[in-house]
Amino acid sequence: MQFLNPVFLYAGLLALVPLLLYFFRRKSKTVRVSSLLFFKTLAREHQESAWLRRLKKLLSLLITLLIMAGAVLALAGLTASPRPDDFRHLVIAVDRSASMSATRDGATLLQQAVDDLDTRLAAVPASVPVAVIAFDARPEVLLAATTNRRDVQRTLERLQARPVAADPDAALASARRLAALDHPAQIWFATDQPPPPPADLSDPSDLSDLSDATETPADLRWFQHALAEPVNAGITAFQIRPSPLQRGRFQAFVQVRLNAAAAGAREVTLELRLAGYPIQLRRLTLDPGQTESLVLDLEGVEGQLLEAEVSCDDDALAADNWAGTLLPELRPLVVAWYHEPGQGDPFTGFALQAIAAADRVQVFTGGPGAWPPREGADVLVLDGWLPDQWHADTPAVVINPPARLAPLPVTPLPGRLPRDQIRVTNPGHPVLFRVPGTRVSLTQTSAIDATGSLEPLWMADNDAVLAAGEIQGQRLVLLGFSPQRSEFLPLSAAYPLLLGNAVLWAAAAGEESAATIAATGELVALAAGPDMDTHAIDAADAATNGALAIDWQQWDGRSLVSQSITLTGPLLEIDRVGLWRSDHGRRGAGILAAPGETDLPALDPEAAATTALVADTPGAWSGRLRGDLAPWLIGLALLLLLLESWLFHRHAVH
Amino acid sequence: MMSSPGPSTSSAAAAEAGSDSWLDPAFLDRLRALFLRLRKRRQLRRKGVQATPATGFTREFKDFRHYTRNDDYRAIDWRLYARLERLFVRLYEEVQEFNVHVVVDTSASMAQPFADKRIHALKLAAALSYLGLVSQHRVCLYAMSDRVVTELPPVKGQGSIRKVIDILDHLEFDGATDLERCFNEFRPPRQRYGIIFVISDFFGRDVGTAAQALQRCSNWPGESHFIQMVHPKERDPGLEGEVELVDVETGEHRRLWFTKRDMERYRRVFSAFETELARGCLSRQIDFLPWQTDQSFEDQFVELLSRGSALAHG
Repeated sequence: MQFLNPVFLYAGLLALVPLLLYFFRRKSKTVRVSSLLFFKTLAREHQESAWLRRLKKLLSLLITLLIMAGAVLALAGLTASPRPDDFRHLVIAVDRSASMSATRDGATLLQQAVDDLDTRLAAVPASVPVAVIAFDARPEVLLAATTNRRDVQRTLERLQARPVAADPDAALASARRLAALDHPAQIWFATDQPPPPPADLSDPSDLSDLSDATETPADLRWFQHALAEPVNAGITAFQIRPSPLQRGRFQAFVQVRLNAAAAGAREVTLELRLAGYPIQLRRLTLDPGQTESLVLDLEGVEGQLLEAEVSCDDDALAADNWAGTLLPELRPLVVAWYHEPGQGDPFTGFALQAIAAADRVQVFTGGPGAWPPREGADVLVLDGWLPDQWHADTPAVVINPPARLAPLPVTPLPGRLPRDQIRVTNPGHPVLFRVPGTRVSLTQTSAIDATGSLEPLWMADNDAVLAAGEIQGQRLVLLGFSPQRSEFLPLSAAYPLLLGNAVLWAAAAGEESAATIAATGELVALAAGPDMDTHAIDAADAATNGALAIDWQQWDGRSLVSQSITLTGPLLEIDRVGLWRSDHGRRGAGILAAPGETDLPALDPEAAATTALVADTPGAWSGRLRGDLAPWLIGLALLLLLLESWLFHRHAVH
Repeated sequence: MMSSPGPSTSSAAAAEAGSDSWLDPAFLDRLRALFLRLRKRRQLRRKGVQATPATGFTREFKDFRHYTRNDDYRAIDWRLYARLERLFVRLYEEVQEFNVHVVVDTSASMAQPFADKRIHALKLAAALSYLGLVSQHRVCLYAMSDRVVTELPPVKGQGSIRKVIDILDHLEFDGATDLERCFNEFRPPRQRYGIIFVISDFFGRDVGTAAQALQRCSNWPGESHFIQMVHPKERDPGLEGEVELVDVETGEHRRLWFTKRDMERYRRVFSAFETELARGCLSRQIDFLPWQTDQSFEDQFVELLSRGSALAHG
């Protein structure tokens, strides 16, 4: 019980008027008349006993006071919802991620969350400012602290779920920062995710930089809106790449997952379509929480639309059912091979010549005088040579480094170590694609420190002789051996495969095809002109060129629907599932590819019980009366008015 | 001839009237002047008019007629017989003696809540008695409430005015009016033929009681005059809102809520009551005069007598 506008309670002083009138009312005038003959013929009389008259007057006073009380309480905004802990500031964080578009009883979870927040909001005093944050991959402050409830309601009602993965932690941190501006504050966190353990919620570590807020963390109310028994199968990863050394063939990597909260195993159908025609159909039986990865070979022509769609009975979320992209354009891969003049490894040269093709891979040879590499090289192959200063912008394959150079975690050995036993640690790594790991003997020349972000692929005893990974955003493949001094490897087909895989894997991060498929929520930098092949963010160019039109082929759950938007900045946020194309010719695809969204959680009964309105708790008198009681009070006042009219005025003569 | 009471007489009567102000010396003076005015009018009216066709035994000769059997032989004019040899009897003027019956309603409603009604009623009774006494009529006083009580048996002579005033002054206005019983009990004998004045408000137990009671008045010996004492507030009480009414006669309480429409209805009901009473009186050859207590007593009194009362003819 609380009052939204307690100032109107002063209107209750008006009750003094009927009280004064009652206690100091003018007594009825007594008139002596010669005869009552003529008065008796008039209309009905007020003939009643004195006690009944007093009772009626008292009853009339009580009814009048009740009517006034009802009106005053209605004006004061009496609400039956329980008064939460006192707070002066409210921050509402609403999950608008893809999973909130799951439907329950014909309404999305987001709509239900908004309705629930509206109801709860009615119980918040009007003087408490409310801020609204909508979050998916990033939190967005839609409304700063305001006491205008209509704005808040309009903002909430305008919310729409976006096919973007959610990052509740970032949203919670933002909400806490907002809440810290004016405490005591309360945070209402509406999402489909179950609440984390209380220990995590109460940890204000993210506010450590706020000196004035750490002492009084905001009271967090977690409202989970989820399906009771959700079933959802979706694509959690999708990628396409040309098959190595196979013209016109591509490999599609598709990862399908069934949410862990599903009641049981489900049969999931994966359909691949190329240019609208089905080319492959896979039926998978997935257990709850199981993820199935598929590499599918296909033939196609660049520019053709490749679609992957999964379907499942009772599927609750459509945004993750589709993934697609245009088959990538095959631009020649430029490999810059650096070595000391005349000291290039012949086997490396043979291998590069083996993978070189006019329209696929172009290999350029250069020495120390050609360093640094020109713009346009996709992969650097440093063969027995290292520059004085490392070039960190281009992926590199480092073979037999002669010296130590930061940031490469490679240390040359003083001598050479023949290695006959090579142990493959990760045979599924793309660098080792179809590379036999047995009967390989090497001559190790360097020691690789693969304890960081590098992954050791070949181990000789306890030393990594082959490692791949990223260092400071740069893909690196490190070969700690000398090919020409090794016996078996260079002479077999394994080395060209290994080098080709290394080049292709290193170049994959910078390939055009990789950039065209983006997970929703990511930002894609759009260059100002079609001839620019780099994606550097250039805000000045974008501002110079003005607005950019983006045509979307948006996945609406059943088909692709055309939609155009205008982009005013240099960054395109991938906020929908589908294909996009800018008027400068840039193309791309957006897919959800978020295991966290596909894995729809079930409604946590304990969380539902704790986050339900306190009014529902036993002992609360107003189990049915929620929110604003004004309609009830006005109805009560009208009922009392009718009762008074019937009791006291039905025989009145006017 | 009648003699009018002197100022000393009226002043003494007024002094004896006590604290009640219904009788004051000025009133008696005005009454005397009124009497003189009436006598003058009566004299003017008697020119060429025979007072009464009846014959009597006064010394005033009136006519002759043939003697018939059973005539009083003492009335034979022997001188005329000697001349004409036919028997004639002499006829003389007959002087009639009226009985003036003044019935005063002494119910509580005549004194409360409007004392003007009592004052006017007493003044009117006194005036009528005075007029009767100075005209050598016999005057009787009656008090009427739930029954009729003879307060003053027939008296004659203007010297009896003091007695009349005393009686009137000591009348107790109390109780309820029972018109039917009173009119039924009030039966003056034939020998007391005269003029009957009933001074009342005629408020009975019911609205139609007065009209029904008029049936009892058909065989009253003499001409009847009904004077209805009405206070303006009784015609238009001017009440509004919640009012507790108390009947001064019965003590009955009624709580009513009045609106203007109720007042309009009340006025209509009261007017219908008066109309019904007047119509009943007219149908029984009873003179009916509504007496307004807020209007001039003299004017209304003259109007009463000028409506053909025998009292006015002396």
